[in-house]
Amino acid sequence: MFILFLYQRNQSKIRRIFFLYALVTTILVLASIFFRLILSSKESYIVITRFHNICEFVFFSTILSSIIINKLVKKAITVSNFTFITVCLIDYFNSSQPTLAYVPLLSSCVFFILIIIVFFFERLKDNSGEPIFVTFSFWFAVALIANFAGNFVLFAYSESALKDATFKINYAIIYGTVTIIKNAILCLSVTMKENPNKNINADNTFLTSSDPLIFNPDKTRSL
Amino acid sequence: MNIVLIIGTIGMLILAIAIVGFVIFHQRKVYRFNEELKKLEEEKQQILLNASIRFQEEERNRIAADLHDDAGPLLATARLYLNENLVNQEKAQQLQSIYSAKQIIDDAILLIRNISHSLMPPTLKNFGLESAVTDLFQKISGSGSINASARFHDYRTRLKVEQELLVFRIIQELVNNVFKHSNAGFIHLTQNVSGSNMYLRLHHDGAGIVQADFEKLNHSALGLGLKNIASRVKVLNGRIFFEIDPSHTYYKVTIEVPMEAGI
Repeated sequence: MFILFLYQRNQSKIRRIFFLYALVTTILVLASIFFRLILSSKESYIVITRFHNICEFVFFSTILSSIIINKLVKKAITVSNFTFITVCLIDYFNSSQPTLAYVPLLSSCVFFILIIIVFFFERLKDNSGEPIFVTFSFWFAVALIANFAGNFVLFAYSESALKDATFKINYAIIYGTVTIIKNAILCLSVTMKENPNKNINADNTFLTSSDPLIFNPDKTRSL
Repeated sequence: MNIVLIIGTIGMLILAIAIVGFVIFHQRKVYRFNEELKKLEEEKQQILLNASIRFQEEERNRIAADLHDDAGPLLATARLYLNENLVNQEKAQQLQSIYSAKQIIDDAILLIRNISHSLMPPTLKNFGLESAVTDLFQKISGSGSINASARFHDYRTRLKVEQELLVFRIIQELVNNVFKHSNAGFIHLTQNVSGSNMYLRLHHDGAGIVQADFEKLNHSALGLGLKNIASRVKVLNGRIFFEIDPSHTYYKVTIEVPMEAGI
C-alpha cells in the first residue's frame, strides 16, 4: 500500500508494472484476509492465494525480463510464465485437499534465484560509472532474492510438515518476516533511479599494426 | 524438522546476503577504479593544459623579445634619421639620412616577416601541409647532418588550415626531438589515408621512446615538447602511437588524424 502512495504519473513501463503489482497484491491480500478471517472460507482463500502466486510470478518475471539484458534469458522468462501457470493449474486439479501451491512455489524459488544470479552477473560485467546500489533494478533483485531464498526451505518442507503445529508457527513467523523484509526493500527500490547509465564501450583497438603498403619505409627510403 | 527449517532458512538468507555483498563489493571496487582513472585523466589534462599555457607564454616571450630587442631599436634608429632637423640639413645629407632610414625600415620589414613566418609558415598557408613538410625535410636533408625524406601518398583533400598547422607543429616537434635526443642517421615520414583518418608515420633509426615512455613522460613534470604534442593531438581529436619496430632497427611514431576537409 505504501508503494501505491508513491505512484506518480509519467512513470516508465517497469514502474507502471511495479505499481500494478502493488495494487493487485493489495487487493488480493485484502480479499484473502476477508475470505479467511471474516467468511472463514478456506477454499476461497486458497484459490485467491494461488491466483496471487500466479500474478506475483508474472509481475516479477515481467520486471526481471525488462531489467535483464541477455535475450536468451528474456525468452526463458517469457516461456516460464506459461510453464508456471500450467504447473499451478495441474497442481491445483491434482491436489486431493485444498492446500497452497507449494511445488510450483518451490520451483519458482529456484527459478527466480537463478535469474537473479544471472542479473547480478550481468551487473558485475557492467562498467558504467554509476554505483549499483542506487538503482531500482538492484534493490528489486535484492528484495526478490531475500524473499525466495528466505522461503525456499519453508516451501521445501511445507507439503510434508504442515500438520505439525510448531512448524505452522515457525512457518508463519518465517514467511511473515521474509515478506516484511521483501516489501520493505521493494519500498526502498521505488525511491531509487530506474537504470544505471548504459556503458558504451569505447573503441580500444590500438593501432598495433598497420597496412605495410601504407607505411613501408623501404619503398620510400630512396626519396 | 523445525531446527532444520530455521537453520536452512538462515543459511539461505546468509547465502543471499553473501551474493548481494559480493556484487556490491565488486561494484564498489570497479567504481573506485573508474574514479581513480577519472582522477588520473583529469590530472593529465591539467598537466597538458599547464604545458600548453607555458608553451604559449614562452612563445609570447620570444615574440616580445624579438620585437623589443630587434624591431624596436631598428625603428628607433630610423626615427632618429628622420627627425625634424632633416629639413634643415643639406640635400646630400638629407638623401644619405633617407637612404639609411630606408635600409633600416627594410631590415625591420624583413625581421617582422621572419617573426610572422615562424608563427605561420607561408608554404603551409599557401601550398598546404604536403609542401610545408616536404620543404622542411628538404631543408633538413640539405644541411647534411641527417638523411631526411617525406612522402605523401594520398593528400588530395587538404585538412583545415588550423589542422594542418597543428599537424605541422607536431611533426616539427617530433623532428626536433629526433635531432636533440636520438642521434639518428635517417628520418623518414610517410602519409596515407585509411577510411576517414589520415595517418602520418615518422621513422628514424636512432634512440627513441615507446608508448609507455610517452605516457610516463606525459604524467611527469619533464617533457614539455611531448606534452605539447599530446595536447595538439587532443585538439585534433587524433591519436599518437610511439612504437619500436619488431626488428628493433628503427622507431616509429604514428599520428592518426580524423579527416575534416578544409579546402
